[in-house]
Amino acid sequence: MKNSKQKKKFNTTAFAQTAMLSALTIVLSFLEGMLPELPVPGAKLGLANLAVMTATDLNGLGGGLCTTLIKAFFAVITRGPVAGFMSLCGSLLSMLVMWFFMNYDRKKLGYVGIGVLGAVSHNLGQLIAAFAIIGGSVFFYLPFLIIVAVFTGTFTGIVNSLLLPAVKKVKV
Amino acid sequence: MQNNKNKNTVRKRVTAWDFVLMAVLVCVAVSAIFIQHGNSDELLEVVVKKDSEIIYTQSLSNVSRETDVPIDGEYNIILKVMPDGVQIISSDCGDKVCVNTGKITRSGQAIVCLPAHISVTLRGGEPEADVIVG
Repeated sequence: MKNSKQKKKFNTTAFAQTAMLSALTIVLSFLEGMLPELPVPGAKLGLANLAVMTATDLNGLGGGLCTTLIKAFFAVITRGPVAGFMSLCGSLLSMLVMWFFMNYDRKKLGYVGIGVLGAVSHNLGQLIAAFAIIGGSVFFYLPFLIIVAVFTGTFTGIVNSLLLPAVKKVKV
Repeated sequence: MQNNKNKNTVRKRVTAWDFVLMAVLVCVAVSAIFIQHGNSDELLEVVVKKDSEIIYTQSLSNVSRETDVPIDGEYNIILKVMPDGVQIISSDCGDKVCVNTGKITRSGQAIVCLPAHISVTLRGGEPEADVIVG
């Protein structure tokens, strides 16, 4: 967890938050697996992306990266290396895009916009992973996944807009 | 770190830019769907690939009735080839995304089974016009 360190001292709050949010991604991934399939093949609600967004907002690139790696590791041990690779590509791209816009959009976008960008890039990352594995016409799905991502991203954004101000208020 | 920066201006829940973003994404997606569906044609060919290697092809114009085609490999997949499209009707793989995709009938559409590394695509021979005017 060296990423949770800050300049001067070991940041216990960031460490604890990263650990809890990583645990949350595991629970949410599991929960998502139990929900019925979306009408679009391969589309996921992206519930776990919710915790990745929270982690990235709270603790920056380091926190987001830790959460992403732990989530991918969990996918490898429960659903196999293919699912793990898909998870890693999706979350990593999503996390980087959300981190970039969180820091450099000068607050032009709302939480909903960040969530939508995260969801779309998550699906894009997964399709790139699928393309790397089997090649061919996986990008056929992209337009459908974008439409689904707009809805799931809005949901993620609304939840985080309620959650993040409350978490930030807590002084540990 | 950035928590201090965020105190200066607080991010809003929804801004006008969010709606612009969503509108652009939906427009791009919808137009992409229309472009894909524009390529409809009669001479469809089924191509089954495993790890980007073609293992089965069949022209749908040669298919007069429904036939089940087993696809060998790590998982037992049964592909139903019909005169107007193809569908994976059963698979041993865990997630069943391929089965849930249902029937594909148009050129460019695909069924993908990631666990088995199998992709089933429809590709068209010559594109035909939807309407011929004049």
